[in-house]
Amino acid sequence: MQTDGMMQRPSIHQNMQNMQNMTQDMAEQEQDSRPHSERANRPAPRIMDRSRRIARSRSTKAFRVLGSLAAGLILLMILCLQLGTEYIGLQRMVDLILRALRQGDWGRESIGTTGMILFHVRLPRILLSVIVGASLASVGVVLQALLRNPLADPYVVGVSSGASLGAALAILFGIGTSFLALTALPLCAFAGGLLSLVLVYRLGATQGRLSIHSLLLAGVILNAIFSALIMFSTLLMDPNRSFGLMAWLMGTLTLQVSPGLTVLLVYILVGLALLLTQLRSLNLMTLGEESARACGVDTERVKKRLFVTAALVTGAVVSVSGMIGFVGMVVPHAVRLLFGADHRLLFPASALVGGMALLLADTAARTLLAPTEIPVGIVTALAGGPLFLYLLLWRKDRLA
Amino acid sequence: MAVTPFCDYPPQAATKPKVGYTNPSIEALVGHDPDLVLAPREFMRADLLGTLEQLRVPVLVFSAGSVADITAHAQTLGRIFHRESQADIVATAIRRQIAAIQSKVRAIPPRRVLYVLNSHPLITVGPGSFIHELIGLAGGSNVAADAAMPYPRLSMEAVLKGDPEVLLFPVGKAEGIPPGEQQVWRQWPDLSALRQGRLRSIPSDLLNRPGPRIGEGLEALARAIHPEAFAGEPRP
Repeated sequence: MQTDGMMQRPSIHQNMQNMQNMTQDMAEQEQDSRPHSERANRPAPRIMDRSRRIARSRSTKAFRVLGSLAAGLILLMILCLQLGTEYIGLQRMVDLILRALRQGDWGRESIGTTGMILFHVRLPRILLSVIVGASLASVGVVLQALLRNPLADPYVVGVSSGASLGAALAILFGIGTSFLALTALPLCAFAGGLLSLVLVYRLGATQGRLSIHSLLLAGVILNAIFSALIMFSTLLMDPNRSFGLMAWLMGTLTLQVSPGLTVLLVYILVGLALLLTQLRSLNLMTLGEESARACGVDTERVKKRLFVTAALVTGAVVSVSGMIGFVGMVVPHAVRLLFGADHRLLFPASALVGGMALLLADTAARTLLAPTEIPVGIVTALAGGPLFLYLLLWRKDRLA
Repeated sequence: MAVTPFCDYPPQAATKPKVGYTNPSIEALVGHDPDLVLAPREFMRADLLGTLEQLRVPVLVFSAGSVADITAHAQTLGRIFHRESQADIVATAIRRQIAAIQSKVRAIPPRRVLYVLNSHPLITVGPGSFIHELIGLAGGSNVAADAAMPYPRLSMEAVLKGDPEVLLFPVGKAEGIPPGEQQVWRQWPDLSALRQGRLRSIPSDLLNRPGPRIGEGLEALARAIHPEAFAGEPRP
């Protein structure tokens, strides 16, 4: 392990790290070191067979887990599609779809107000919450592995508050109300996220190396500075605008324009695909950078690539949905407890569970006080925070 | 006399010394040695009130949640400053203005109104807010009447169901509806308000500030909702 100060401090993340290593079964470690041992000296055929067999059983397990999670997500989406300001049953949905298909028109004339609500309000929102939830959880997995800290999530590293500051400045200088508002606001948020990423990165890098400890610290401090700047910008704003900004920051999953969804989807899918290619290295990184390097991982390059991609995905997500916390922190935790710490399973499973979690939270936000909506960031914090504390206690009990 | 940086009515107010708004400077405030501090309830923090009490600065806290409150407050101030008859004149004038507007719109069936404080996310006014009451007085029926709070984030589903005939955008002086906001609403061409082209701006200062100009505010609101009732009459 690199001397980044983590070992000396018997803190929460230390305990978490120990736990994680303990729960990682031997088979995985054996398998993970395979590329290295293959390169260095050919292992005995007996071990090869065994690890292949284990690999096969693991992949069927992964297949089963991911399959059932995906099925669960689809069922949940169908369930949530029925709920809202008015209940729309399955029979009704099918009728509406058939009618729209027959008439070749998805406007009010053919499907009526109920159809408009179902296809133009509820469906896009459900898709958006799944996409945003999945991205937040995936980025959470990557950052937790990378920073070897269970508190890491897209919000801790300062990217989200940078993005929010970008949005605040856009509104302060009136871009938010100009003709370009719909494209300019997300762009400004994105630019802010990118700026904070570069800052965190510069501050965290010492002598060409990315020290995870200073990276995390820089993120926390930048978060505090950006939050103060956001507060300051609301002071300078017209009060009518400042509450609009605060409302936006509390998390919004209503989509402004439909092309936005497509652009975001492309963006996030590319980002997630890039992350997917790095899962093997990520597994090795959790064992510590020394071990990862010993296994032939170019740790600095992997770190840079993962960190930049994670930040870009976060920036894109924040720019459309504001600040939605705890999904990126709690979901990877819960999934790790349930299915183990192998990132090849953890990453896609977290994405699916993250999608489900935010979908549930947003459905609660839409329906609990209907027709009034609760900002979804409040729901995720109120549900996710206590859950996280519970997981902490549970782990502590198991360790004792 | 001293005011907040936002005070611009009557025009002389803008030239008075400033003491700050939600975070007023206590030093500046006490420095003016006020006989009385008037403060709206929602902007007066408990710690601030405590400090002022310790410094023996008299404070009168207003909470104007309805039109009746405004006339009552005018008369309270009249008694405090020994200007009872002037206060009565102001209160009567306000009541008369309101009655005149009501008589104009009473015969017309109410139009469904959505008052857009913020388009993304959609924030509007609900029961318990001052503007909700004014919409009713101006011959409108608020689409967010079922909402559980005074300033709700309204679900777009509820908007489609309520199908507002008029969208009202509170804006500053000499400002149109921001194009960004209009663009948000152009996604919903099926709404009656968009089909009939009833996206209207309304001077926010007149409505957001419960005070003596409330009659003017109500008239602006009634003109925006039922322009035909004011046909032939010049704008004030």
